[in-house]
Amino acid sequence: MKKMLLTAGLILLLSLSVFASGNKDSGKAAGAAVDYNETGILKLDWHSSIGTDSLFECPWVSEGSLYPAMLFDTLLQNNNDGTVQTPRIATEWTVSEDGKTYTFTITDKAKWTDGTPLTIDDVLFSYNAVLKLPKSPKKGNFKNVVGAQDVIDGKADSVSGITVDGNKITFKLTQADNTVLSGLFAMMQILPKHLLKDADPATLASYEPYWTKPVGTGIFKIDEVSFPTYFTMVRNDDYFGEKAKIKHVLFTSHQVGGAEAIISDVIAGNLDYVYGNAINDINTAVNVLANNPDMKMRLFPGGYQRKFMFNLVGSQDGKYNDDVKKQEVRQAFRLIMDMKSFASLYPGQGIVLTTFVPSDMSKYNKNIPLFKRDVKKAISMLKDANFDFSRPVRILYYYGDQTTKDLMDILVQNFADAGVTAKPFLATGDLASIIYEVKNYDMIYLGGGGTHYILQYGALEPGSAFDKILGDVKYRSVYTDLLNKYKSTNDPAEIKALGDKIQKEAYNYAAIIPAYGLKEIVLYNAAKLKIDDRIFNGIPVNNYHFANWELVGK
Amino acid sequence: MFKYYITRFAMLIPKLMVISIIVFIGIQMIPGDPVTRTISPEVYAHLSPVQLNELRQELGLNDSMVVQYLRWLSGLLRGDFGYSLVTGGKISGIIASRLPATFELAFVSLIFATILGLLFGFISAIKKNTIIDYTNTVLGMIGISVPPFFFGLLAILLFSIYLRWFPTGGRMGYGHVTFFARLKYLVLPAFILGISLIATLMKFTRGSMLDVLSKEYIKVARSKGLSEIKVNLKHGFRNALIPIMVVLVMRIPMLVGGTVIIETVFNYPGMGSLMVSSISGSDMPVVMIGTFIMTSSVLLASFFVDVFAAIIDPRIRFGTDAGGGNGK
Repeated sequence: MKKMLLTAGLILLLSLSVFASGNKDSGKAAGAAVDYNETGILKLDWHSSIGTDSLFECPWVSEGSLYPAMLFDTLLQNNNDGTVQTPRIATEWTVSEDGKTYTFTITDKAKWTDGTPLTIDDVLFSYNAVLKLPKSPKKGNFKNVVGAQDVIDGKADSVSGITVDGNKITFKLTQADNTVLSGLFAMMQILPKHLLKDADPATLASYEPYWTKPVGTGIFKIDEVSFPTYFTMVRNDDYFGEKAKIKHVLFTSHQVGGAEAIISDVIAGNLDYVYGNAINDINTAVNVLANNPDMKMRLFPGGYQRKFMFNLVGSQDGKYNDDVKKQEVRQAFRLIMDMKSFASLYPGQGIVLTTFVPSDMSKYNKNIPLFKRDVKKAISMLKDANFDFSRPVRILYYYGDQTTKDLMDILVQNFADAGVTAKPFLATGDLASIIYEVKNYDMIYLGGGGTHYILQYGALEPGSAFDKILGDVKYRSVYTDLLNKYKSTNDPAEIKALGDKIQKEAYNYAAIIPAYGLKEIVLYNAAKLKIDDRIFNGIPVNNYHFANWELVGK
Repeated sequence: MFKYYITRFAMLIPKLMVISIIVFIGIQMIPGDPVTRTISPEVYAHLSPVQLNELRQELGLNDSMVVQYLRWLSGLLRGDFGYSLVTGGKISGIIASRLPATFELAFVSLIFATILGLLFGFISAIKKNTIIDYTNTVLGMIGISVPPFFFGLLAILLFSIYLRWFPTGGRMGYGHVTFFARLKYLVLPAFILGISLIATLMKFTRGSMLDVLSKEYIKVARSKGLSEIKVNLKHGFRNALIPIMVVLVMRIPMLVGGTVIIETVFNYPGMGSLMVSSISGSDMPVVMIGTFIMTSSVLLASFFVDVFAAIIDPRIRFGTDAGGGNGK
């Protein structure tokens, strides 16, 4: 019997030693002249909003993954602060005096990674095709392009305001818009017409012959794909711009295990650069750092904010608290809620907001007093507005994390301090329908944002599904007028004055109340990876500067 | 005998039809709009009613439920599973990458569980009422009562993060695509998935062995002067194995079901995790096909249980009353 046990034990030990060998270093001593850029692998998380089962994510629909920034190019390249553009596929561009016509000259040096040269037809094709995709958020950038709405509505096949002459492409706008350079021209990826021309325009984003291994013009190209687990990219040695130093990149999917799997892999040293929802909570990030000293954390103001929006229309269940329709009530609610406590749930990451513009920025309207909680004043305002204290205020939220639940607990207490009953509830399932159609809530806690803070007030403009919550389309057109003026001027004083006016108007109206801003977090393996520090001068997604990334260790 | 197998197999067809109807109707009864369920509130904010209707039209959601069912069923019979609402990709492609992964995990887990369950049960039986037996019994109880996800998290912490013997998860890694290279990805999830089966098999093996070891023919074997190991293995273990094998086969469907949690814990891309993500992402066409395939697998496994039971016990295929004899 002892022999049997001994044999079984030996077999078990032998098996473990065989399997266990894989994750350790090969044991070869690193020579002094090892070029990690050539021999090493940059390990990244393969995040995709459509999963990693069978197709790559189309960047026109969602930009969750890093891969589009490596594979595709745009006409212009934003700097990280999103304000200064440099050439990319467009070698040069001109803007007409009235600011309504933009003309770009296209490079003749760019090639698709299948060897086909990039042409002006690819650019024209891309700027038309994106408008036919039902779910593309990029269509919002085309608002002022002549004829774009006709293509969106299916009334025209191509945008009348976009024309081509030789290697020049011209965009005509209905009105001057100083935001198109950073949005429409620097954030719109050019895709290959020769590989996508046979796709049904409405389902181009899932056209299998292309999206199983997409071809781009970027600094890297896709090499090996193994759905649903990983894919690799290699340096594009034919890239028309500055070439990458790093040769190999490995993207590993954590689609199944989610945030926990990503965190485990970061701690185990299997991911070199991570960002996004999985680690975008300072408490999680700090825990990761404590368990893997090679990782370094960087925070940057990415423009992400959490807000409270009021339901100004009514609910399906008839339990709507119509007191929130009163402007004074909404303003009083702002004084009740302890925004400082909300922000402190994310120590070092949360930013207290008064308007959508952080108060330390020059664009902030200094005439608006900084947020200060004042329950006494709030109660007085509520009484003046004949607020019915016996009716509860229902607050919908759809983030299931513990910090949000803690925030809701604070919120309930905040309202209780003023004698108001707040009833938060977590919505799950068919969110779009619950939020926009059923609307059984008085306030909703939601997220969103962007680094162009004034443009976030576009949420108040009529013309989106928010109409179903905010109502009063007639009044809200004031934001359209103000934002159009804001976008059409290049005079700094006028820009400041209009930005102040928009903030003041929205502050008084109080239909959307900013709760707090959240700095975004990047974790990277500083012992192995050297990244270009400029990416933190604004937001990384504007320009990753991949050419300057280096592997400096194993 | 052959007729019995054919009859059992033919009975699968109406069962599958009923399953397809239940699955289809069940999914249709879920409240909400199949289109809005898959769109984030942020994207929905920018869609016009016309565009939403176009999406519904394109997905065939404006047709009657009967038309939708018949279209789905005819596609199913032709091997055309349709398209995912979330990815837009062919469901057949998704299933093709996920199903083998789950079978692989379940198969390796079955091997682990069989070897260890039989071994520990055998040892417990021949060391009855000793410290080894008590230890095995306690470990078995823990194996059955503690949820597998807890063992999974513990295993990741110990073997992947601290000891770094195994990957934290996944099915394969870059450069590790062959079956043997992938084994290190399978060890932890397969073992954890099999813990409950190990405990069950251990319990049954112990009981069955003790039952057999108390039979007269074992005493006869011993009185003939056969060595203890020969008596235990050749006469005891072999005879005890028959009822254990039935238990083992009957547990296979439960093993497949158990992958749902284990795959999620170990970031393992199989059918179980596909079902979880499809349900949470409201990707109903994938949920329908996934449910159909999973239930069909269980049905097929049950069929093989019937076949296996009929092979080892002739009374079953002849419809004889089980109480008619001891079958030995």
